[in-house]
Amino acid sequence: MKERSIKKEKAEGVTSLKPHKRLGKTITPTNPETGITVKSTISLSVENKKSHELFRIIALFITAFLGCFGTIYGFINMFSINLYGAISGFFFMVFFLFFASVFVMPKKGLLLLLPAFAVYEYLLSQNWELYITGFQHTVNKMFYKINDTTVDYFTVSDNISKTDSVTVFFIFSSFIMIMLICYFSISRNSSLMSIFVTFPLVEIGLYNGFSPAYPYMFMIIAFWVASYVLSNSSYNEYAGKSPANFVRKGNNFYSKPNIKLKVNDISAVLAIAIAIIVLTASYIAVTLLNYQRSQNINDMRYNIKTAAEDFSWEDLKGSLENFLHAINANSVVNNQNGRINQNGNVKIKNRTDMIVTFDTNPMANVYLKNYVGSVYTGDSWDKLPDSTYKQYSEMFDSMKAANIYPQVFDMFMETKFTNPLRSINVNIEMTAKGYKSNFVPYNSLNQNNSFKFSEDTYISLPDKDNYQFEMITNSGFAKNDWDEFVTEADFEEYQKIQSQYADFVYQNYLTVPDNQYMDEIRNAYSDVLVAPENNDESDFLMIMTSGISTGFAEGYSVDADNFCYYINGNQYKLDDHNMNDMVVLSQIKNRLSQDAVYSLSPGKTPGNRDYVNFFLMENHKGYCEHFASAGVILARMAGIPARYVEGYVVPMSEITSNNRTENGDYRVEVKDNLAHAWTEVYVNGCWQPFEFTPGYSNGTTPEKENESLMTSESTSNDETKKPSSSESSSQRNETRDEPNRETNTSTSSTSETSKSSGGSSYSLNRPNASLRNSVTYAVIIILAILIIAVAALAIRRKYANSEREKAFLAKSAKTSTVNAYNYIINLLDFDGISSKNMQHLEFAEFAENNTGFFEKGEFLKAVSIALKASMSSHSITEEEHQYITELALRLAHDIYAKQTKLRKLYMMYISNLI
Amino acid sequence: MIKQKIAYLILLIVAICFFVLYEDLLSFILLISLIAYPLAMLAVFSIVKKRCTAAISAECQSCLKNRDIVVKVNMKNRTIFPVPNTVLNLKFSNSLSENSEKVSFLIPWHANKNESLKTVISSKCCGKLVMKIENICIYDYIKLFKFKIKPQNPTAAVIVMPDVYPLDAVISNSLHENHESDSYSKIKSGDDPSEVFNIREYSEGDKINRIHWKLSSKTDKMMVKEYSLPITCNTLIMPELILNNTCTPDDFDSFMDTLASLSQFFAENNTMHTVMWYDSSSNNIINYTVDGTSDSALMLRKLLSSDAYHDKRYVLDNYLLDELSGKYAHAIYLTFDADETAVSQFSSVYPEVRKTIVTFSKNIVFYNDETEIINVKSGFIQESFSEFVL
Repeated sequence: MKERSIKKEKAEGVTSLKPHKRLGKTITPTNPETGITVKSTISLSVENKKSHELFRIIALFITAFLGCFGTIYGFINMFSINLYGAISGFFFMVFFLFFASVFVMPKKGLLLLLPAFAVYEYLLSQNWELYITGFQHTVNKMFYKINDTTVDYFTVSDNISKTDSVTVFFIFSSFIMIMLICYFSISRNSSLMSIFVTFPLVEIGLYNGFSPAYPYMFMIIAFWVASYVLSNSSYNEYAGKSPANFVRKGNNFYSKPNIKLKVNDISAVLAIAIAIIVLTASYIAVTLLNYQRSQNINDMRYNIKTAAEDFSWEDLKGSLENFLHAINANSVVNNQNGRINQNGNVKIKNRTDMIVTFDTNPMANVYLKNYVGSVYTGDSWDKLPDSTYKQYSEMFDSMKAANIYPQVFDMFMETKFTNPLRSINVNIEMTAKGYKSNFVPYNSLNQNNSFKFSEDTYISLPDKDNYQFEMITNSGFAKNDWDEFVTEADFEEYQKIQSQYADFVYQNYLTVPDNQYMDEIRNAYSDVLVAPENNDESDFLMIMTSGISTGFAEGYSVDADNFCYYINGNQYKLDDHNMNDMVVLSQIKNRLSQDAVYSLSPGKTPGNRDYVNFFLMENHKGYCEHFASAGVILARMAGIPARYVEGYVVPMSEITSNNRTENGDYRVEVKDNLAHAWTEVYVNGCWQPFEFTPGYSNGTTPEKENESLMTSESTSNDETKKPSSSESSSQRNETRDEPNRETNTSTSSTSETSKSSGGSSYSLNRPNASLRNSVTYAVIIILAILIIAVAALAIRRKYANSEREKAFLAKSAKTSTVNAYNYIINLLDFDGISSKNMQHLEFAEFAENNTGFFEKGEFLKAVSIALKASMSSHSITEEEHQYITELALRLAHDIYAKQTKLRKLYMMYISNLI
Repeated sequence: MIKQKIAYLILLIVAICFFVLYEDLLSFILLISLIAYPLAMLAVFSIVKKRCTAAISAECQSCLKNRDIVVKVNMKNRTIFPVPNTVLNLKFSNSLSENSEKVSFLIPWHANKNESLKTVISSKCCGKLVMKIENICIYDYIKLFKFKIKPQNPTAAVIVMPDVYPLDAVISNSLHENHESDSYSKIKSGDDPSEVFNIREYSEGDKINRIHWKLSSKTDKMMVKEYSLPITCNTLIMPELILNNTCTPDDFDSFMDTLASLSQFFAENNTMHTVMWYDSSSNNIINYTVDGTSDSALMLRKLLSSDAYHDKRYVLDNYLLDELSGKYAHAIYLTFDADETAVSQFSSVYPEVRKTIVTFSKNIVFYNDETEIINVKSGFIQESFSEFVL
C-alpha cells in the first residue's frame, strides 16, 4: 500500500515543556521500573491525503458565515428593521471575506487590521451623524416592537433619511460584529466567546418575546454547535506556542489543532449539518403535530416570572419559596406589589385565583385588600420607609398596646349605636399557591386577636391558603348591639389614637415627587384640585346622589334629610371639610374619565418617562393601575391623603343566587380578571377605598375577559379619543413640543422641597434635560468603553505579570524551570523566531546562531536544563533554575529594548510578555 | 468527558427554563433539538464505531536492547465521518519481567482513509516486548458518548535480545576425554587422529608426527595433517525463569545476559550444549541443542518468547526426575536465587556430573562441596566468570 505523508499532518512531535493543566498528575516519561522508554517521536500519516488547506478554509468560512449572517440578519429580521438590503449585503460580504481571510491567515495577516481600522475610524467620523441617527432609529424601532407602541424613544430629526441612516448604522456595526465573530470562531476557536458575542443580540428579542425567523435562528444554533465542536476537539492550550504537533505529559500525547486541521473543520461542518437536520426535523415535527403549549406550562411561566419579579434579598426564604411554588403549583396569584410598569398589556388567563364564600349577600362590591403602596417613585408604588415608621414608634406602640390599628379604624364610627349593622362571614380559599399575605375585606373584625397588623397598611392571618373573616356591613336588614363588637373604652382609646394618626397621615400621605412631571400634571389639573368656591350643600348632595361621579368603592347611601351619607354602613356627617374633599375627589374622577380611556393594552411606559405623567399627558390609555396611580397623585396634590392599593374586587354582580350553594352560601370563583388596583383616601378619620377607574361603579366591574378597551360610563368607547378639554389638549401639546423630552435617558436628582399641600416631598432620580443630547450620550458611552478597555488592559497586564511571577517561583523547581523556558520560547516567538517544526536542541542552535541574544552554548544549556526538568527524573538544582530564570528575564529585557514604541506597547499590554 | 456531560446537562436545564419562560414555538424546537442532537450523534457514531478498525504492528521482529522500536498502529475509518477525538491506549509489556508501560494518544481519525500512527519505544531490558492496543475509544462531536472500537489485530511482539559479553573462561578438556563423539568441528582443528581436519604446508612448530610423508614426497613440499576436533554435547544449561518479588528488571536482564554469554561462549568454542527451560505458556520443558553461534541466537529468541513463572522450579524438578539429564558431563543451573533446598537438591543427584550453579542473589549464597556456585553481580558478568573453567 502506497502511503504518502503530508508534511503538516506527519508531525514529528516533541514534547511540549509546558506543564499540563488538564492532568493533575505527573508521569515520568521513562519508567525506571519497567525499563521501557516511550519516546516523544510521534508521527501521524494519512494515506492518499490531498492538500487540505482549501477544505479547512471553506469549513472555517462556513462556520463563521453562519454566525455572522445568522446573528446580524436575524437581528434585523427580529425587529423588522428597514435598510437597503443590497448595499448592506454587499458590505456584509466585503467585511466578512476580509475578516475571515485575515483570521485564517497566519499571524502577519493580522497587520491588515490596522489600516482597516484606520479607514473604519475615518469613515465613521465622516458619517457620525448618520450613524447616530441610524442608531436612534434602530432603538426606536426596537422600542415600538417591544412595547407595542408608536411612541418614539428618541426624537430624531426628519432631515436625515431613516433608511439611509439605519443602513449606515448597520454597515458600521456589522464591521465590528463580523470582526468579533470571525476572530473568536476562526482564530481563537472559543465556543464560549462565540456565544458571548452572538447571544446578546438574539437575547434582546427573545427576552421580549420575539425571535428571528427560524432559518436565522437555526444558523445561529448551528454556529454555536460548530464552535463548540471546534473548541472541544483540539488541545488549544498550546496552539502556536510550541514547535511540537503533539503535547506530551508523561505518557499522554495530545494532538494539537494544526495536526487535526481537516478532521476538526470537517467535523464542525458535519456537526452543523446534523444540527440543521435535527432543528429542521424538529420544526417539521412540531408543525405537523400542531404543537400547542399547555396551559400548565404557560401558568408556570407566568408564576416563575412573577416570583422573579418579587424576588428580594431581604426576604430570601420567601422569595425562594415563591420560586418553588411557581415550579410546583399550577398558579400563583397576580402579585404586582406596586410595580405598576411591569406589563404594557394585561393578559387575562381566566384562571381562578381564589374562591370567596359569603354566608349573606353583602349587596355591594367587596374589596379584598392586599398590597398598599405609599411612596410613588415614577414607575412603582413603594412602602413607606422603615425610618418613617420609626419616627412614629411611640404612636405605633400605643396602637399595639390598645390593639387598635388604622386598618380597623372604620369599625369605630360615630354611628355605632344607631345604625343598623350586620355581620357577614367571609371565607377565602386560595387556589393559587404560594401567596405569602392575605386578602382582607374592609370592615373586618379582629376575632380572637387573630389579626397581625403591619404598621398602618396590612392585616395578615396565620393561614395563607384558607381563612375567614367576619365583615361588618350595613345592609339595612337587622340591628345588632354594637357592644358586641366595640366597647366604650375601646372607642375612647380609638379617638385618642386616631387623632395622633391623622398627623402621621397628613405628613406622609400627601407627598408627590418634586419634579417637572408632577408640575406638568399639577398645572394641567389645577382646575379640579380645588372645590368650587360657590359650592353649596345642595350641589354636593346632587354630586353624592348622582351615583356616577362618586368613587367610593363600597356600598354608600345618602340621607339628604339628615344631611349625611353612609359608606358601607358608616355614617358621615357633612361638614365643610369633608364636603370639599368629596367634591374634589369627584371632580378628579370625572376629569380622569374624560381625559383617559380604559384599556387593557395601553402599552408600556417608556423607561425614561414618568408613569402617571405619560398616562395623563400623552398616552391617555390605561387600566386600573394607571387610574389608581393618577388618582392618588391628584388627590395628594389636592391635599387629600391617598394611597395606592392592590388586591381583588368581588363585584356585587357576581354574588347572585346562581352562585348559592346547598347550604345557602354565596360561592364566588374569583378569577384573575378581578385582580384590581384602587385608591384609598383618608376621609373622616379612616382609609376608605375610592375608585378612580372608570367602569367600577358600585356593583359592576369592566368586562376584562372580553374587552381590551373599556371607557367610563361617561365617555365613548373610542380608544383613540382625545380629551375634549381644550385646556388639557393645550397642556399635552406643550408637553410634546418640549425639546428632547423623549431622548432623555440619564438621571439627575431633584432638590427636596416642601409641597404647598402640606406634606413633605422626597427626592427622586429623574432625567436631566441637559444630558438629553444623544450625541453627547454616545460620546460618553464611547469614552466609558475606552476607559473600561484601558482599565481592562491594565488589569490584565498586572494579572499576567503576577501569574508569571508565580510561575517562576513555583514550588517545584522543575515546574518553574519549565515555565521559564516557555517564557523564553514565547519571547522569541514574539520577536519572530519561531520554533515551529524544529526539535528543541535544533531550535536552540538556530536561535543562538541567528538572534544575537545568546552567547554560544548559552541557550543550548538552558534547553538542556528545560529538557531535564521536563523529561528526566533527576531533580533540578537551584543553580540551574536560577540560570534559566535569569536568562529569561535578560532576554525579555533585550527583546523589549529592541522593539519600536508601538511594539513595546503591544508587548506590554497585548502580549503581556513584560 | 464529565465536563462535557455537565455542560450538556446545564444546557438542557437552560433549554427547559427557556422553554418555560419563552412562549414562542422556538423554545420548544430548541428543547427537542437539544434532546435529539445527542441521539443523532449516538446513531451516527454507532455506525462509525462498527466501521472503524485498528491494528498494531512493529517494524522489526527482534532488536537489541536500548534500540528504537517503531510501533505502528494502522487505523481505518470506512465512513464519511471524521472523528476529531480518538483516544488510543497502548500497552507495552515485557512478558518475561512482566513489567508494562501504558501510553495514551489523543488523535484525530480521518474519514475514509487509512491512517497510521507511529511511535518509537525502546527497552533497556531483554525479553519479549508485547505491544497491545489496550483500547481505542472514539468520541462524538460534542463528547457526550464514548465508543470502544474492537481492534482487528490488537497485539504485536518484538524480541529484545540480551547483550552478549565475551567470557574470560576456559573450556575444560576433561569433558571431551570422558565422552566419545561422532561429530567433529568444521572450523577448528583438534587432536583426534581418527579424523583429519585439514592438510596444509608445514609451518614452524608443527609436530613431526603430523607430517604427511607421502604427500610431501609427491608435492615436494613439507605437508602436515591437522586432526579434527571432536564435538561432544556434554554441557547442559538450565535457566530457571522463576520470578520472585525481589527480582528487578536489571536482575532479570543480567540473568539473560549471562545465559546469552554462556551459550555464545560455548558456541564459539565449538562446544555443543543443550539449553533446557520451561515454557509456561505451553507447559513444556524445552531442550534446545545449540551447535554454533547462529543456533545460540535462535535459542535465545525462542527462550525469550517464553513467559516467566512464579510457582515452582520446573527446570530443577525436571532435572531431578529425568534420568536422561545424567548423561551430561556438566550441568549449569541458572537461577535468580539459590536457596539451601535448591542447592542441596541439585547437588544430590548424578554424582558423576559436574554441577555449577549460577545465581544472582544479592544476599546469602549457600555453598556446597559438590557444586560450584557462581554469584553474578549485575553489570559484572565478565568478571564473575573470569578464569573460570567451564
